[in-house]
Amino acid sequence: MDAQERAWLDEYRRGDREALGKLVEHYRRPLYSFILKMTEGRVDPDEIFQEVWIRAIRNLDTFREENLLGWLFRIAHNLIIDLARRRKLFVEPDAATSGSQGRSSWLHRVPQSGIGPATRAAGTDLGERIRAAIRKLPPEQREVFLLRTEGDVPFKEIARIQGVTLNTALARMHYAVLKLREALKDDYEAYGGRMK
Amino acid sequence: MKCDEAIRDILLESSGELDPAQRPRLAAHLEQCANCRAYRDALTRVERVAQQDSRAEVVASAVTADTILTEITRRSAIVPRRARVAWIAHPAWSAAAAMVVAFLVGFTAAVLWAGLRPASSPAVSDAPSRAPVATEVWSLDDWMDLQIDLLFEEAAALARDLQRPVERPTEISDPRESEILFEEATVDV
Repeated sequence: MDAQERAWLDEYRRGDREALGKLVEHYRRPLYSFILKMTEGRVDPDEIFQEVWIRAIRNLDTFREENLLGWLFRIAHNLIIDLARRRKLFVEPDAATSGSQGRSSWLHRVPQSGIGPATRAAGTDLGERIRAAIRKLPPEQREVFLLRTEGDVPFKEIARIQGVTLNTALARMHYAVLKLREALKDDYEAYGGRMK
Repeated sequence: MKCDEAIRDILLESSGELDPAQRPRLAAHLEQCANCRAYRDALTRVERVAQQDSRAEVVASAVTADTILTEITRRSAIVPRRARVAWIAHPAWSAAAAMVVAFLVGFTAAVLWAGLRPASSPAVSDAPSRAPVATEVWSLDDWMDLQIDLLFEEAAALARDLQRPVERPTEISDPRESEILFEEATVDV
């Protein structure tokens, strides 16, 4: 958390509502994007986004950490897991990409209803390609990758969010990178990179 | 350094978590190992493409700080109802509360009954100055004192009656009249 973020947080704690608005805007893109890509449009991301902030604000007195965004991600992670556990429907994962790890994964308990508005509105063919590749990752690997790329969350914090060891978090990122590298192989070779 | 260790350090370096003391060792390995260099390049490339794509997204979220605070206020208004539900949801608490209430009601009823009882008894009617007011709540000690006093008063009255000579009618002309006198005397006693 940089000095500006800390200042906004302190101002809000002193009662400045506008400071909260600045924090919400500041963290909107990484947090919303993470929620959207983790739930794949199966639920309204606005609902989870709002719930994350409500829980954060209600527990702000107990927040003593350095990384506010990491804390918000942790709340979002728990909310998505709770949501998945409450859902009765069970969507079978893509067997070709998930393997045994994905088959029992919590995220697949969330029913799929389509891709969210932000994803549809976005970018290039390469972007679409990597989004599709990210969607095919097992949820645990996808979460590590998104926490790194969307929120720049350190691996130690990711391990804490997922409740695993640092080495497990690193291994999940490693496997995600291998799969995404393979998915982007053609683009990467056209770009002139080496894909060994 | 083995490649497994190098990959671990490459990942930690990408997040800024690699111990600076380990960097020379990793750099030396990367100079010799083409596969690990390719892995590091792929990591950088994949992360960059994902981040660029994410930044190009239009985030269509309608949630603002105002809507968040409004929702918190709305939920705060229904907290007391939740508290009642939570109270009911704990059978042990409910049972304990019922026992306390039952005890208090029973105790209060016993005290009230004890305090009001002399007012309805014939003995109290003989001592109007000591009779409690219906709305007055006596302590148990007061009630016991009153009962003892009344007992002594009754004993004294009985002693006086025994010492008094019995008045008998000197002349009874009508047997039915004697019965009436006898009945009256019985009632007086």
